[in-house]
Amino acid sequence: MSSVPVARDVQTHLERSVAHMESGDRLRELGDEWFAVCYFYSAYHMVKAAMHADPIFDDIARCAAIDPYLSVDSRFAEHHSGGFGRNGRTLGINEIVMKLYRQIRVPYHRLHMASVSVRYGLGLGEVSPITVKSDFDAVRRAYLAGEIVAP
Amino acid sequence: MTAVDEVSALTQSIGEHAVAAIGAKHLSELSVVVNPFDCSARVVVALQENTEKEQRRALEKLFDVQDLFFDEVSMSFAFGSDIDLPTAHLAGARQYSFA
Repeated sequence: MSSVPVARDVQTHLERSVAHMESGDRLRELGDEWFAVCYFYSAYHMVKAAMHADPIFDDIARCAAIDPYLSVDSRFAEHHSGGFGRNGRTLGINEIVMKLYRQIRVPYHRLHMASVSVRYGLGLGEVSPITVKSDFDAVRRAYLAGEIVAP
Repeated sequence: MTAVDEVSALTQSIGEHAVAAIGAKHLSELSVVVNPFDCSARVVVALQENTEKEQRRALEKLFDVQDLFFDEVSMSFAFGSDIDLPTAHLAGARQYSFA
């Protein structure tokens, strides 16, 4: 992911989110399970846009109060999952959503699971297309309502 | 987290916590694979009743388990019954299975 230019501002993330959503809508109408991948990446860019605007990432103390591994630089996290490097634990978007944005953590994670299943597994499988759509709608509704913000 | 017995103990502990959190009666299968080289853990869950509501409940429980082991592994989840995960064949990886 780091080898390509990435969006680093709210507007660009939202433009990418809308583009992925529109692709997802078209694929869903065709009955193509890849709509789940598009919906997940639309949600990913919505969350990234929310993170860029979330004031918690302007405040070191607030970040540390939530989690010792959360920092102002977490705003620029790009990987889905964090890991362990020479400088200690890093957080991915999935972990940031789990810690900060509880109201969307189930739909967001399930969208990621659906996307992984389509790309690397045997298809949607255990997560139904109806659930994928409702999970995407839940994340989008929360974003549009301004609810994806740290408590 | 380098010693084999430590990895095995961690894998077992994650598995037991996950089974206890979700509840054995709600599970058909649960598998945990820990890769000590990147400190990752993958938890695959097959539910007795695979509904949206049960998935939601299981995920919330798994987030609690994720929090418990947050300093030790980076955890990911999947729904399914693939008890024999390819990642388990990595040298050094350890697997816990509940069925």
